[in-house]
Amino acid sequence: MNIFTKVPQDSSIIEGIRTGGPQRRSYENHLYGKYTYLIRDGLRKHRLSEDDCSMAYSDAVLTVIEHLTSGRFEGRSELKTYLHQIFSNKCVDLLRRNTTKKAQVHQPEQLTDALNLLPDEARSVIQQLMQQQDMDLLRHRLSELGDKCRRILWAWGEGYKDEEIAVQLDYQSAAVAKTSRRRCLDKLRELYHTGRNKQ
Amino acid sequence: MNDRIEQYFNEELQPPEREQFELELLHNSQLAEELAFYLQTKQVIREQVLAERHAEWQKMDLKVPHSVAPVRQLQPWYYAVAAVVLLAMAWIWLSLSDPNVRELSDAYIEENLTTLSVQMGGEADSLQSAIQYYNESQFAAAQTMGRELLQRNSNNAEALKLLGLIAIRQQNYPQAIAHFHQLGERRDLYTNPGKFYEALAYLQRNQPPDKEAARKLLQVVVTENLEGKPDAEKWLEAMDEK
Repeated sequence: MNIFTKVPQDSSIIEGIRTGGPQRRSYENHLYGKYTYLIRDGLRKHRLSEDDCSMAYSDAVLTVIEHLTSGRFEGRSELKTYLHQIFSNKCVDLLRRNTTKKAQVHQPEQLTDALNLLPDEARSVIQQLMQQQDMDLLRHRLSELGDKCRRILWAWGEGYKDEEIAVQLDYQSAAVAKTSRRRCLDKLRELYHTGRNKQ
Repeated sequence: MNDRIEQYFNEELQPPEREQFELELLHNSQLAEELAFYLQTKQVIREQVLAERHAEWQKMDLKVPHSVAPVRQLQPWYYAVAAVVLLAMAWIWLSLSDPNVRELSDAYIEENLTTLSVQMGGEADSLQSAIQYYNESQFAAAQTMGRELLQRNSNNAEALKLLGLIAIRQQNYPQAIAHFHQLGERRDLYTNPGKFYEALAYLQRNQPPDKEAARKLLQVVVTENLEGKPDAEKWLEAMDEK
């Protein structure tokens, strides 16, 4: 990142990401660029490889973006400290995975949060079903989806609200974007099951 | 896709609809499969979004311009001034790049305590409702329910923990310290975050003797391997660095 580029204040970054619209991406890039020195800290403190540290940092930045757009980050702490905390946790997770070879059973934070909303009994039913699912086939089916579906699902995955998706991807309204997104999920599920039945 | 799946995860369902949905998940295999597929898809998309953004950010990092400027001979004293400025900058960078323990505790609250898992208390409905109020920042309502729970059963550790957390969020630190101290003294719990949270409350209050009180509690958390140990270790390290 160009050191002579004017880097916005954290408050502007927060507002820029929360406001959304075409500028959001630029504020996200500023957030990423502003604290890249944390990668060096990670290398020093956690003794991870540079690639691992760099990926953990990207993951942490993406998580902060998700927390900003969902309202989970309330601004109680400094953005820098919040990112530092999440990055540090990601590094520890990675270290634990590397040392205990638990990569296959690793459950990302976002999934854990969602599953924790379910009561114990329902959670274990869902977890069992998820374990039975063929992730490679799902990835493959996702790549086979049409461009429009792929774009809308990606935007959803990045935490864009239906209102923003409608503007960005030229849908008539948020309701239309929502219906289209759900249809794309149904289509993906249908594709996935067709593939599974053939196996 | 069943509309209620997304509404459930966005916490848009009313409590009776929510309960009905959870019950249905146990008996309606199609609904359960749809929900599992929804979560799995979201996860796979997230992985791919991360891979794409990571690649994009890596490229952005490479765009450091190599400016071509004419080389000019400088006076020797310029180098001395530059060295002093660099040393000062290095000192500032070293002392400011790592957040202090108070900042770490702020981030901890932000990350872990602004939204609690509704399942925190298991099946107790009123505790779950109290947590729901807490998550919606309706602390007075959450506090009333928490106190009622504690009046009904003074051994209710989850209610005690919730009352302590409410006090933290309301910045009523003496009350938070009292609740967590009481919780930390319990020896009948499988996991007990009492001492760690008490330390957190001291760090948040940030009065002159509080840092030492927090340090002692954090040391206990580490040596006795209590809940919060990984963060306690990080905070102790941050205290020693400063």
